[in-house]
Amino acid sequence: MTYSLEIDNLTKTYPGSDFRLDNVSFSIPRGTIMGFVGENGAGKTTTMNAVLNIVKKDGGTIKIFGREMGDKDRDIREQVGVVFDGANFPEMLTPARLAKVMAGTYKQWDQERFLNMTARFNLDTGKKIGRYSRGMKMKLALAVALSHRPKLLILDEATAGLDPIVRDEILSVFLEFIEDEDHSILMSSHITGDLEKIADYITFIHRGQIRLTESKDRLIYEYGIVRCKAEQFRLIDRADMMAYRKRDYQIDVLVNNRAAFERKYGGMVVDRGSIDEIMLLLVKGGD
Amino acid sequence: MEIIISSNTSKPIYEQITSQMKAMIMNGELRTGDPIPSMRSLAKSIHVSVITVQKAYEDLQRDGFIETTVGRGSFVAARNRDFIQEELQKKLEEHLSLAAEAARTGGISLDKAIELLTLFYTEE
Amino acid sequence: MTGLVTSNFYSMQGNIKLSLMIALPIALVPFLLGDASMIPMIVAIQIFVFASNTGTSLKMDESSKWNKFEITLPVTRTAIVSAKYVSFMLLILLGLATSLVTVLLQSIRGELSFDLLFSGYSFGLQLSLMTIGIVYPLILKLGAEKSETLLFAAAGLSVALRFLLWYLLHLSDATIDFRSSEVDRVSLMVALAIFAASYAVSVMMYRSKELH
Repeated sequence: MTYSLEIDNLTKTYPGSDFRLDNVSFSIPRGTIMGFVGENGAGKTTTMNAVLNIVKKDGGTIKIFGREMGDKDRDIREQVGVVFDGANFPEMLTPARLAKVMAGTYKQWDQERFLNMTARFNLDTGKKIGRYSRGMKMKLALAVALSHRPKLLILDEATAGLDPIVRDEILSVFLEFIEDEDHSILMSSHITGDLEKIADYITFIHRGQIRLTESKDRLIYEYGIVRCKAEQFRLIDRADMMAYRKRDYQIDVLVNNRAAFERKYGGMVVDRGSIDEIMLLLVKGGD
Repeated sequence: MEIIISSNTSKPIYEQITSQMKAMIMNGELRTGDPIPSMRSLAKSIHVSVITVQKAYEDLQRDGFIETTVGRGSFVAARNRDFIQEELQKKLEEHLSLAAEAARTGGISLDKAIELLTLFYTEE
Repeated sequence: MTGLVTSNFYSMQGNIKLSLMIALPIALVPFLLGDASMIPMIVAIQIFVFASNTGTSLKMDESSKWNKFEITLPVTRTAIVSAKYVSFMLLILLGLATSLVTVLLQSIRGELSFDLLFSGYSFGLQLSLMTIGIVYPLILKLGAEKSETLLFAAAGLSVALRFLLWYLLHLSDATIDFRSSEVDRVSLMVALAIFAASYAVSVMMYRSKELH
């Protein structure tokens, strides 16, 4: 399998902070969408910043399209589209002028595509970016990211704070992008419902450590959450549990093969878990 | 071609895709050699992830309903006429064996059972 | 890099207009008063008014987080810093262009004095180059939030340096006073050296800078 992005044992610390990215490793197969989830401060943005060279990693390797990207590797950045949480464009500019800036920066800038995208998103290209709403800024950022014909999109909370209609529109754009099997997406999001719809894989990060990377369909259709009482809980082999969480009247146990678990322990209730619930167990639970 | 995806059922999305495609092939809506959408364009159209459609297509291919050729996309498989016949016959056998079982336990004679079957068969 | 310079100018457009509104009318002051001795000060102000926009531009880049996005563009970090210094120089050129109005008006009065002009241009350039040269690495280090304060501090330091240079020259030759052309020449050269050194330092700092 070829990978668009391979992160191997990435570590990163900041002076004066006890936050630490601890041997973060995961890869994105070419042609797929990777959802990146974890609570605030878990290390999603730091990981993405390290991938993009915005912060300097302490150790590990990061390969984009099979190569490590240094400051000089402009050709790689040419192929990577980025949307941050917030638009990050100079507020005094209008999108029309921003396009001129981008045309003077990206070799592959496709003005026609930019105009198509802004028209599709109903963006007024003559209005200053500073006067744009958050939703409009995000759509603009996406239009910019797609207009230099990237192969990898890195999206940090790109759908956060947007209404469901806009989000659906944006998800369509992502699926359109991924229609080309050379294209891949890394997207962090708090809105796991979005990821549940379109992601192929999900990576869970907690306190700077990767807890799990798994295919989304396996998470939803094969993983399960056992709802059990304390006496039932004692019967479960530790090796069969991925994580558990004690609640007031029941204990939730995450298992990675619902069918096998049901065969082995008859009579216990095993639910299908949502990404949110699986995250909760991986983050809050013990193992 | 229409595919309806419901998120309100316990049936996994890939199974919803395979069962609807199989039905379309079996009832002749899709014929041998008919092109079916690429995985990625179907994923886009029905708003599900690529990997989900991929799994559905793999299952369909494994069961002989579709064929995928590199560079040309996926098609309804040529051998599926015999294959469907076989599938249907299998289904019939299953139902008939259940019927025979019921007849035996109910003390209904074979002649009576055949008579009933003939009645159902010619009714429509 | 052209894209980055364009972006800098679009960002500063409003401020450049404001600078023009200040710099153009004051060209009339010596013309109307007929006081040629004001020329050096007027020319210096006209140049510096433009140069002082650097702080605002850097502040806006930081508050919009454009800084962070810039790193993801297909440009090197050196090119990002270079684009900044090119923009600074273009700003100074704009100041120089505006000051030509003063020169033109003065030549209409027929009181053009090369010495006065040289003194004005030297002071304006020295003040601008030194201020920018000092302030940009400082902003990289301390953040653009207090860019105005830093800019004024740097400008003050530039004036102080001019006095220091005059004092040093005066020590070697007692005939040199603060208005001598030697002071103009030496401080202009020192300013150019600081500007060049500032570029080198900023490139080094930016290469290892982390943006959040």
